[in-house]
Amino acid sequence: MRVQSEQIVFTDNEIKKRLEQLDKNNNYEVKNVLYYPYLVYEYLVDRKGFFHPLQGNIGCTIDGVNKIGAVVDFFPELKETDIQDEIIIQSKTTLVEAECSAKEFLHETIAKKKKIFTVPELKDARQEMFYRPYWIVEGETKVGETFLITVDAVSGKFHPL
Amino acid sequence: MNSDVIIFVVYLLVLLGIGLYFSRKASLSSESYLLGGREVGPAVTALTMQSTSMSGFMFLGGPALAFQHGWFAIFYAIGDAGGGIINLSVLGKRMRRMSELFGALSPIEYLEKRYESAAIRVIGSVIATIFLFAYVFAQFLAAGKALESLTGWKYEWAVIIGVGIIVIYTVAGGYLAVVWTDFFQALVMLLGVALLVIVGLFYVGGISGLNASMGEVDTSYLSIWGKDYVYYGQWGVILGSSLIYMIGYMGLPHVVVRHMSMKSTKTVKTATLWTTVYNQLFAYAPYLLGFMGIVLLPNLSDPEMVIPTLAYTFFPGIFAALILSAVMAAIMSTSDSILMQAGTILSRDVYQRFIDKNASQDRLILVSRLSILLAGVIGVVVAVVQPPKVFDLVIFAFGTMGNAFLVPYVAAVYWKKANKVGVLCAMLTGSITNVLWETFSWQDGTGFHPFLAGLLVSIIAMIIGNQFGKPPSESVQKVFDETTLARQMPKHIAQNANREIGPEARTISEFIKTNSLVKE
Repeated sequence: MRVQSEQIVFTDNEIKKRLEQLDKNNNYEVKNVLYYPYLVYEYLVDRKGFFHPLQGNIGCTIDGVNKIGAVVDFFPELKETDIQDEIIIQSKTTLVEAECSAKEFLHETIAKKKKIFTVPELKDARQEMFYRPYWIVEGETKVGETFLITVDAVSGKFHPL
Repeated sequence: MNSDVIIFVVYLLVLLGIGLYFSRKASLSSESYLLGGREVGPAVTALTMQSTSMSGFMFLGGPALAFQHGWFAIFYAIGDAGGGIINLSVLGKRMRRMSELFGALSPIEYLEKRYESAAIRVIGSVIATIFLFAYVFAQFLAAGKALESLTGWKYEWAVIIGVGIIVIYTVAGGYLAVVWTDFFQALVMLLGVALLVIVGLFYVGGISGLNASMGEVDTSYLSIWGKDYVYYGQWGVILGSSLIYMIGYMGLPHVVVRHMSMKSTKTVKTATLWTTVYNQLFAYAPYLLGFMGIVLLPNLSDPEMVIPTLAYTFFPGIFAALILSAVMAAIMSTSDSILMQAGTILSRDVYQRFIDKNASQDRLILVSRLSILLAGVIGVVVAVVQPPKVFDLVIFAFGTMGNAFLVPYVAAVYWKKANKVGVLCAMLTGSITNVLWETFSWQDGTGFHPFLAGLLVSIIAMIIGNQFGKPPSESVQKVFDETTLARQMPKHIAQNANREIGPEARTISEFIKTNSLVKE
């Protein structure tokens, strides 16, 4: 399947090395990579008020499966890539369907972080569905017990499975 | 205008300057998206979070109780400090894990998803709003008193002007919310409190000297039973006093904004640990100052004036005015946040859900503003006509909150079959019991703290009510199992795991199970 995806920043070897540095007692083996769906929305805001100037771009992603929003710092660097279907998690929503959630999420985020009621108009800039690579890593303790964790191959964040 | 008022105005202008500088800097930055950057570390984040909780209660209510009852008051501080530890412990961990799995953004949304009931969200929102307004009324009282000490104005005028300023700037546009204004505030207040404690201890001859002097004034100040042993043998009151803060915080409807980084990040440890450390350091300080008041200010007529009076006793006017300005600014900032939260809950969770499902953004904003204005008017009337004590109001607010939410939260992660009927019964009976207990002063006759009474009734209602509801759906039971199953995870991995990608991890986990993806 040909999709827009982010490129792997942390290779399997780097991940193994980082985890083994963090947890010297156990061994880690990178098993596989998966591609997770996100929808990214970028908007332009232009609020000139003296007390609450807010001018520039603002963006968020909506998790394609759980439909949860997250603010982002940059528009992702994407590349059209061929990825095997079996390692892609399919999105349960589309760009059009999730746009409402994206705008609502950003309105709430602006109101909360800037403590303002009248949220400025969000002007569409760009939007895209993309896939982010996640490593599946197996850890093995000295007594042979195994456990799995997933590592975001772009940011390096990880979470137990 | 006296010099203290000038210091207060200058202080607010400095805050405004900091806010404007960083707001404009953020706006002009073309490198990253607005609001997307995370330029501060966990220690600074924790300190700024601490500044939100350093409200009128810390500076007026806590010291007043200590001034009136001596060492009995320390139970509230123990609960306050213990709240952070509970948050880090088993219950906190389970709650965080379940909340991640549901992808909930606030504690009330988490309850709605766990118990699959919109009614829980609505009732939870109404209770939370009552709590928030009661809490903000306490801030209004504190604002009036702080402004009265600073300016010498009559209390009634100080309240009207103080609340007027808070409501107008909240409704008109909001406070300049940048992390650095909160950080500056926190620093001034923490340094102020630390200096007051150090100088105060020097005055009274350390903790031993303080105890000796308190004992000379009245030996009952040194007991755990309150002044004149008024709570003697009433373990229900002692236990309730400790639990109330420990639990009340859990129900605070704060919103966590998820952040997704588009570049590699260093794994940042959560600010929770730092917050707990700060909390351990400062939870006891206001009470210690209250004890010092017993010794150093024997003729003080208003116990809530302990800190302002000590500040003017220990320091030259300019420093005292600076500390009081920080207190006043903190009250303004806290009130602003709470009013906005309450307004948003009322407009979105109550108005939009029940009155006008298709309400536009503008209409929702109008509803929020009107409810804040109404709260302001009621707040002024309450504060002027029959002002309760700051401490009583805060304790009432925390009690209602804790009694409504403690049992549902604990059952969510410890009782698989807990269902919405049980939880609705627990929330309603717990909070109503607390209100009745407070209103009719049943503590005097029973020896039971209102919080403890509400807690017991809430537990019984949960057990009985649960018999009448359907068990949770399979998907919720699955989440429960995942939450409670102890993961065999090495300590360093578990500690550094990033909770923000919890929902993704859950999906990935299901995907690899379904597709047998992990190669042997």
